[in-house]
Amino acid sequence: MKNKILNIKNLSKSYGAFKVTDEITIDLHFDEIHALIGPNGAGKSTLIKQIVGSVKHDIGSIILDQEDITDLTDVERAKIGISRTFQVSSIIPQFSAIDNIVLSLLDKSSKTFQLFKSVRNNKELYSNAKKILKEIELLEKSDISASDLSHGDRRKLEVGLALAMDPKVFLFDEPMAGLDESGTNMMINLFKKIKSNSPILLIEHDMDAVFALADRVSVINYGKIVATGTVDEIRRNELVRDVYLGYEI
Amino acid sequence: MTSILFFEQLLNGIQFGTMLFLMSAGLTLIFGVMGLINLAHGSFYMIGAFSAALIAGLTGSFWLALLASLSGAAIAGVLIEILIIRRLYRRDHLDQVLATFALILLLSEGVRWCFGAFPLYLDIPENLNGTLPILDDIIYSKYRLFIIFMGLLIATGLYILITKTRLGVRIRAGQNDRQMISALGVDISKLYTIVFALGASLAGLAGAMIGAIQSVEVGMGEPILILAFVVIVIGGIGSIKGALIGSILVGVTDTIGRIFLPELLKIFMEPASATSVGSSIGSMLIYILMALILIIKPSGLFGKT
Repeated sequence: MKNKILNIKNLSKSYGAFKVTDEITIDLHFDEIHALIGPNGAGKSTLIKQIVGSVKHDIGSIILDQEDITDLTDVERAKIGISRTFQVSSIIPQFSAIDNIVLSLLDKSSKTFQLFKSVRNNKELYSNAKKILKEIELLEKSDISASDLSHGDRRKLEVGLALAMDPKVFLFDEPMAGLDESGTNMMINLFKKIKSNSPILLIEHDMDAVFALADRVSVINYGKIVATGTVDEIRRNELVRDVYLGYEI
Repeated sequence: MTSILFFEQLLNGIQFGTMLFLMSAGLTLIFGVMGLINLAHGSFYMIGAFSAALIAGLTGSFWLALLASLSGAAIAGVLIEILIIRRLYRRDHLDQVLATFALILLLSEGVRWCFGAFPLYLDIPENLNGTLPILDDIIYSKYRLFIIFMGLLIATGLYILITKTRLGVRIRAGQNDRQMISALGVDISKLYTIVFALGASLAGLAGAMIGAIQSVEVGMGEPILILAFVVIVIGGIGSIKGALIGSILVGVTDTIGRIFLPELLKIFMEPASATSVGSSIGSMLIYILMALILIIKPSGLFGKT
C-alpha cells in the first residue's frame, strides 16, 4: 500500500443496464507510468472522468496518497493533486500560451480577497510559466494566442497546464494524439522526466509510445480490466491479442 | 443656441449611457460567464435604490446610502444565486427566463410589502446640487457630471479587474470552458457567486444614483433592463468593453434622437407631423441601431464570433 500513490478499488459505473466500468481495480505506484490501453469505447476515458470526479461512480473507492477521496468533488480532487488532460484539447483559445499556463499556476487555495491581487505584475508567476513553456518547447510561442497554435502545440500546451498544477498524479488522456514524430519524442522524454515527481496514468493509442514509456500496462475491455503487467508480459498475453483482434503488439 | 443644446443633450446621453453601463456590465458578465439569462437583473437596480433610500432616511447620508445600495444588492445577489439561480445553470434558456421572471414578481411584491406602493425620494447631497460651468456658455448639473464620473471610474475599475487580477483571469477563462476550469481546481460555484454578486451590486448602485434624480419605486428596474439587453446585444455578449461602448451609443442615440429628430424632420414635413413622426422614430432609434449593427456584425461589436 505504501508504494501506491493512487489506489482504485472496484470502481463501477452503469448507465441503465450498460456497465461502462465494471469493478475496476487499478493502482499507480510512485515513480511509475502506468498505461491504460484498450479498444475505443472500452471505458478508458470514463474511468479517468470517475477518478477526477467529473462523473460520479456507483460503487468503489479511490485513495490518493493514503487519503480517501471517494466523496470529494472534482474541484477538491484537483486541488489536492489530481491533474488531467482531455481527449480533445482543452485550453483557453483567447489566452496566449503563457496566460494559459499562468491560469493553471494561480494558487487554487487563494482566499476571496486574494482574487483581487494583480497577475500582470507578478514576475515570479510569469517566470515560472516560462520555465514550463521551455519544458514543453513552446517558449518561443509564449505570446501567441492559443487559438493560433497548431494542433500539436495545443496538445503540448495542455500538458503544460497539467504540469503547472504540480500535482500528485497525472492522468493523461491521449496526449500524443495528432503529434508528429518530434512532438511524440518530446512528450516521451518529458513524461520520463516528470514521472519521478508525479506518476502518470496514461491513456494512449500510440503503442510505440506506450511501450517506450510504460512501467506497467493494464488492458481494459468492455469496462473490465482484463490484464495487468509489464510491457513484456502484456505483449505475450494471448487475451490481450484477442482484445486487439490480431493487432501486433 | 442649437450647439449649446446639442452639447447639453450629448452630456445627458453620456450620463444615461454610463447608467446603462452599470446595468449592462453585470448583465453581460452573468450571461457571458454563466450562460444565464437573468430577467431579474432589474430587480437588483430596484433593491439598490430602496436600500439607499432606507439608509438615507435613517442616517441622512447620501454616501452611506450609496454604500448601502452596493452592499444591499450584493447581499441579495449572493442569497438569490445560492438559493435559486445555481439551480438554473444546467437548465435551458426558457427555464431561466421563466424562473427569473418569477423572481421579478416575487421581489417586486416583497419590496412593495416592505416599503409600500408610494415612491420614495433620495436627496442629492448639498455639494453635488446645482450646476457647474463647463465652457463659456454651457453650464451642467453637478450631479449628472458626478454620475458620468462614477460610471467612468467603475468602467476603469472593471477593466483592471477583468484584465489584471486573478479573479479577472478566471472570469475570462470561465467564459470559455467550465469543465477545464474545474479540472484546474478552480471552484466554479464560488466564481459564479462572485460574478453574480458583482453584477447585482453594480445594478444596485445604478438604481441608487438614478433614484436621486427620478424616484425610487417598485418596478423601476424593468424599463432599464430592456435597454440593458439592447446594450449587451450591440456590444457583444460577455464583453465589458462592448457593454461600455454599447451603453454610450444607446444613451447618446436615444437622448439625441428624441430631441433632434423631430427638429430635423421639420425641414421636410409640417411641424405637427414632424413632431409626431420624429417622436415615434426617436423612441425606435436604438432598436434600429441594434438591427443595423447586427446586420453588419451578428455577434455584436465586441462579441465572440
